[in-house]
Amino acid sequence: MATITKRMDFGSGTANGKRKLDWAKILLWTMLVSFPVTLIFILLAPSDYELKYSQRIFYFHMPSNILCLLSFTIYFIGGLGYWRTRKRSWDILMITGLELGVFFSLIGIVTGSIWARYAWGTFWTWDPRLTTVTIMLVVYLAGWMLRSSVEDPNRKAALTAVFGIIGFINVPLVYFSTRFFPAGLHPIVFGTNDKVVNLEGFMTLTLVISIITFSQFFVYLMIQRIRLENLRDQVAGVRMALYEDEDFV
Amino acid sequence: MARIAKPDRQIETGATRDQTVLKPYFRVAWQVFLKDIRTELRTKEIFSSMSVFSLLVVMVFVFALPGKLKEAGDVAPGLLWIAFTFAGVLGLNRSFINEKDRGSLEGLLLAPTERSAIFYGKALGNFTFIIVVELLLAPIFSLLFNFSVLRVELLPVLLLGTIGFAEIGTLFAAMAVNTRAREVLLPVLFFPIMLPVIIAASQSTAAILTNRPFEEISSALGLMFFFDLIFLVVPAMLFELVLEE
Repeated sequence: MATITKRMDFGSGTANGKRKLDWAKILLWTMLVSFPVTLIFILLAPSDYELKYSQRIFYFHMPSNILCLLSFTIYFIGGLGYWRTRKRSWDILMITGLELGVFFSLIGIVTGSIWARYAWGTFWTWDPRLTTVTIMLVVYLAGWMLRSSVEDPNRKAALTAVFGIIGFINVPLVYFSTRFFPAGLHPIVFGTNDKVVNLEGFMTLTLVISIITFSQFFVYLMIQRIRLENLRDQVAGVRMALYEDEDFV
Repeated sequence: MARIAKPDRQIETGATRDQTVLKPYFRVAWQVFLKDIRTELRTKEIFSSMSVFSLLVVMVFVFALPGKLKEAGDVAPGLLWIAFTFAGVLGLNRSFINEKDRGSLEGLLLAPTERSAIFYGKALGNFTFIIVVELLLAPIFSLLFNFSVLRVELLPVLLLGTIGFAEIGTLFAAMAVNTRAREVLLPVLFFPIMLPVIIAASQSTAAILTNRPFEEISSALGLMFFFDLIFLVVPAMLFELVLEE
């Protein structure tokens, strides 16, 4: 992990005179191509028989939900790593996973809600999966609040790690518990889900392209977030050095 | 006073007599628990605030939902568990804030023992406070709502739910005490994580109160049992990280 963050650390420049590949810049340029291509594919993809145009939001909805789960898994892994090693690099991984997870789960919930309005006739229903994602978002927002209310960096990392581990273990339990909701009150419409499973060939291709594009975006954000945190560390280091100098003068 | 001194002497003689590792471990946890009970019996701080607060919560429900009282059976299980949760958070907050403010937390941390032993002692203490308040609140709740929730079948639900509260609550209280927001942060962390237990507990309470068959609640009870089991182990493993200086 340390090597990864070190490699991401472009702020310190190139000490050996060797030019390192700037992955963030490369991704930025490829995204300039892949985003319009994805949009064209989404527009060209055949409309769903029943859902018509609204089905196309699925190509935004599903990738962001996959990436939201991936982010929280990254947060969890970072938490475990920090628990074992107490290294700053794991802490950086945690904050990256946490923030990106909140971001992508918000996109997932908003797009899902708009789609549900057309597919199910309502913006919101207490469907088990929906409830689980929402509770997950609330849990990680709480984690964010926890992080921002601690001053000491070591304690901040420690508490974030503990909460990340507990929160991740809790997700399957939340999913099972939502099944105890009284079924009669909130009708669950699974009709659309059957159709999604039987995607037509071109639709599948569009979905794969969309997932790839979103993943590019995700990796780009991750690199930038790690870089930001590294730069902050450097600034803190410089500031410390400056204060020390002042004491001597 | 002689009675209080007795367990301490046990720990001295016990440490030399027992060669096993586990016995002193449980003894430390037990001593932390006894310390909490002893402090509480002298100050009555946590217990009084929890019971008065939960009573007030129930009264607010009665005043806020006058029309609903005719069908108390529909809302009672949920309200009961809301009252328990609120009271629980109040008590959990005090359990570490008192230690921190009196400076006794450092003393606890200096104890030459596994930190998880402290966790189990604290969790056992919190469990006791919450369950006592719950058992006290249930008859008052029945009285005010004119709807009896006093059933023997409810005891396992109450126990499983409260064990989960105490486990997660103790860990999060220890976390929240070291933050800027302290009292405010605990419910924010606690409620979303406790949702599985709150859902399962209130649903099975509703099933019991409306005399539905046991099969309907068995999976909810299983979930709570599973939750309690997982979080009996995990917080103890992470507790050292929480209390690190």
